[in-house]
Amino acid sequence: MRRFFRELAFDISEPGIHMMLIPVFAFIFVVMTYIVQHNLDAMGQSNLITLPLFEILIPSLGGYGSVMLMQGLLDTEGGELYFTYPRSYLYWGLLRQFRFFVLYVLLIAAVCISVAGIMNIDFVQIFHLAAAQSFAVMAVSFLGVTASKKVSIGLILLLAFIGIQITLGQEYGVFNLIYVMSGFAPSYEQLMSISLNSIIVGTFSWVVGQVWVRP
Amino acid sequence: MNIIINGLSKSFKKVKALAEVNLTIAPGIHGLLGPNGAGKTTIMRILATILDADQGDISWGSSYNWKRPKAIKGKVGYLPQQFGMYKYLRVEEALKNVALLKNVPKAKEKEHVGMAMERANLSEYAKRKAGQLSGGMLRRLGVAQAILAEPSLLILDEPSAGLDPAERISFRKLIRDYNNGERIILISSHIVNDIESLCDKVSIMNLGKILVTGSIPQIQDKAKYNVKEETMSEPAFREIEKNNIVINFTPAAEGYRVRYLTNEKINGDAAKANLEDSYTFIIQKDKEL
Repeated sequence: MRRFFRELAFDISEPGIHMMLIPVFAFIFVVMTYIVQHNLDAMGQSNLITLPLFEILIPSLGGYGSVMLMQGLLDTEGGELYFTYPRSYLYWGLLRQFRFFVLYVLLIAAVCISVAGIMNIDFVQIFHLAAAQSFAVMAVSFLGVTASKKVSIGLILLLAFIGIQITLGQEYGVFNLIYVMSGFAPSYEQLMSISLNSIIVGTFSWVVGQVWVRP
Repeated sequence: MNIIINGLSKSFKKVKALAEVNLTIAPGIHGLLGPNGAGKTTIMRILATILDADQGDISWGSSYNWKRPKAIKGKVGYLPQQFGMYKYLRVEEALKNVALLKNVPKAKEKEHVGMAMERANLSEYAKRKAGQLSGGMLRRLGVAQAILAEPSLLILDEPSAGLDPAERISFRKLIRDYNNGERIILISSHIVNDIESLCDKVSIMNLGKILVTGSIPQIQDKAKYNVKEETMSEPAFREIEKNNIVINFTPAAEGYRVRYLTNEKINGDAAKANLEDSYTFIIQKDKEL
C-alpha cells in the first residue's frame, strides 16, 4: 500500500506544474461559484452559468491530467527509458491511469461537496454526473496521447471531444453523449444514459489506448 | 557470462537498421563505433528491451533470453542518447523514483541513491531540479539512474555527448570504476577517444552490419600499412586531400603536418595507426565494396 502511494506521489509530481494547476483551477472554480451564486442569484441565472461551466471544467481538468501523466513516458526525449525499468506496459498505461482516476474522483468529490453546498443542489447527482463525464473524457484523452505519442494531439482530441458535444451536440442529440448543459441538475434518466455512454466510451478508449502504450 | 547475439535483424519500414548481426559481448567494457545510421542505437535499444528484433536471438548465459524481456529488465541499466526526463523533480527525488521503479527495497533505497549520486558526482546538486541542470549535469543524472541498483548490464548510448573535457574525464573514471570485470558495459559513441581510452573490445558498425570486432590493438592493426604522416606545403596538402582521406592536419612551420590514409599499402615509413585511423579505414573500405 505504501508503494502504491509513493508511486502515485511520483506520478503526480513528475509532470510538475501541469499537475499542480488542476487543484488550483478546481479551487478557483469553487470560489467563482460562490461569487456568481451570491451576486447573480437574484437574477435567477446563476445555475445557467455555473452548472454548464462545471460540466465543461471538471472533466477537462481530468483529461488534461490524464494527458500530462503520459507526457514523460511518451512525449519527452528519452522517455522510452521508463520502459527499461521492470514494469509492464499495463502498469505504464491503464494502472497509472486508473490510479490517477481514483485520486481525481476524490478531487471531484471535494469540489462537488463545495458546489452542492453553495448552490443548494443534491451532491450525489452532480458528483455522479462529474465522475461519469470525467471517466469518459480522461479515457478519450489517454487514447489521444497514446495513439499519437504527442501531448498536443491528446489535448486536441480532448478539446474536440468536449467541443463537439457542447456545440453541435446541443443542436443534434446524436453528437452529445455525456453532457447535460441545461443549467439544471440532471434527471435520473439523464444520469443513467450519461453513465452508460461514459462507461462505453471510457472503457473502449482505455482498452484501445493501452494498445499504444509501448516505446 | 557472455551475451551472445545471433542473426539479429531489424527494419523500420523499408530501412534495414540491422542485418543479421552476430556478436559476442564478454564482461568488461565493449564499445560500438560507427557513423550515424550504423545501427548502434538500434542494437542498444533491443538490448535495453525497448525494441523487439524482427529476427534473431539474444541470450545471456543459460538463464536469460531476450524473448523473455521481463527477467532482463531487472538486470539492465540504460542511458538513452537523449535524456530529458524528470524536469520538475529534484535530483534526489528523481533517483528515488528510479529506485522505486527498479524495485530497490525501501531499506536500501537511501544507500543506492546516495551511491549513484556520489559516483556520478551529483551529491552537491541533490536538491536541484533536473530542469535547472546544465547539459553535462543532466547527462550525469542519466548515468546515475542507469547505474542505480547496480545493473549487471549497463548500456550507454553516446554517454559523453555534450560533456566538456573535464566532465568527459570524470565520466571515463566513473565507467572505469563501475567495471568490476563481471559486469558488461556497452558504450556507443562516435567520439573515438572515449572508446579508445575505455574499452576492452570494440565493434565497428556500418549500415546495420558489424564490420569487425576485436581488442583495440587488433583493430588498430587493420590499418597498420595505410597511415602516413608527413609535413608538406599547402598545394601538396590540397593534392593529397583530393585522393586520400585526411585524418588530421595541423599547421607546421613549412605548411602542414598531415595525417592521412593511403589507398595502397605502405612498406617501411607508415605511421603507427590509432583507433581513429583504423575506424576511418574500415568504414572507407566498406563503402568501397
